[in-house]
Amino acid sequence: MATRILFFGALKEPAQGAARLVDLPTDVTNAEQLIDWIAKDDTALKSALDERSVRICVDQEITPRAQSFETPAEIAFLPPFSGG
Amino acid sequence: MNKSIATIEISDEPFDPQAVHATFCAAHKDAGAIASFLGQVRNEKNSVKKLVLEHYPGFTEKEIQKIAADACRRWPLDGLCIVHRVGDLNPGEPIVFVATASAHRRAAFEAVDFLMDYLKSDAPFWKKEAGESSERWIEPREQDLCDKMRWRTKTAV
Repeated sequence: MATRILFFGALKEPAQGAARLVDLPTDVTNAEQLIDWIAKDDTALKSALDERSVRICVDQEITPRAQSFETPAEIAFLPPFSGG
Repeated sequence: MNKSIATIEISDEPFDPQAVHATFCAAHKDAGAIASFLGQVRNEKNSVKKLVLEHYPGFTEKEIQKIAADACRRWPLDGLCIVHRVGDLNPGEPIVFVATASAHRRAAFEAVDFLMDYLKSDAPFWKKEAGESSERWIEPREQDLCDKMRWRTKTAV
């Protein structure tokens, strides 16, 4: 099943886009592993996603980086908010 | 929170804050106090910068619902209304409108203040300033975090 990866705010720049559709390898089961996989050979993206202030949303729930997920439909990377 | 007391709208079109305010007042004729706040795009001299506001459809609405529910737990509100823009905004345009209704003014005032502090820090929106030749994503201000901290012990439930 394909997973949609979304990048919000300033993360669109290192990600070079707002969204990607990927087939997650079976050994990617949490956000830390996902970052290592999608940012393989891309140090700028890895550095941006590794920032502690970036939150991870799995199927629209904020999820700790080390927490396992199973066949998520959507994973979003959220930089600090600036609304209001 | 009884969802019918909170009206939350994210709009990609300009909205008329006076009309929203009038509608809210008409819906709360029995409330002793109605308080409100309007946030607009600052109009800086010699600046043609527009703001571009982004949100995460579905998730942003859910997070704002949580903030509204928190306000309803802390204060006895008859109703509240939040309208927040997304998309392209020009200087002077309304960005966010918040109103609350309660029996007495203290709850109405404080709930508006609380809702704005939390919308600034906990609502998933991202703002970008776009000038003629440059763009800049806006970082959260230290002040916004301090403002939110005020509510930590005050009226917390």
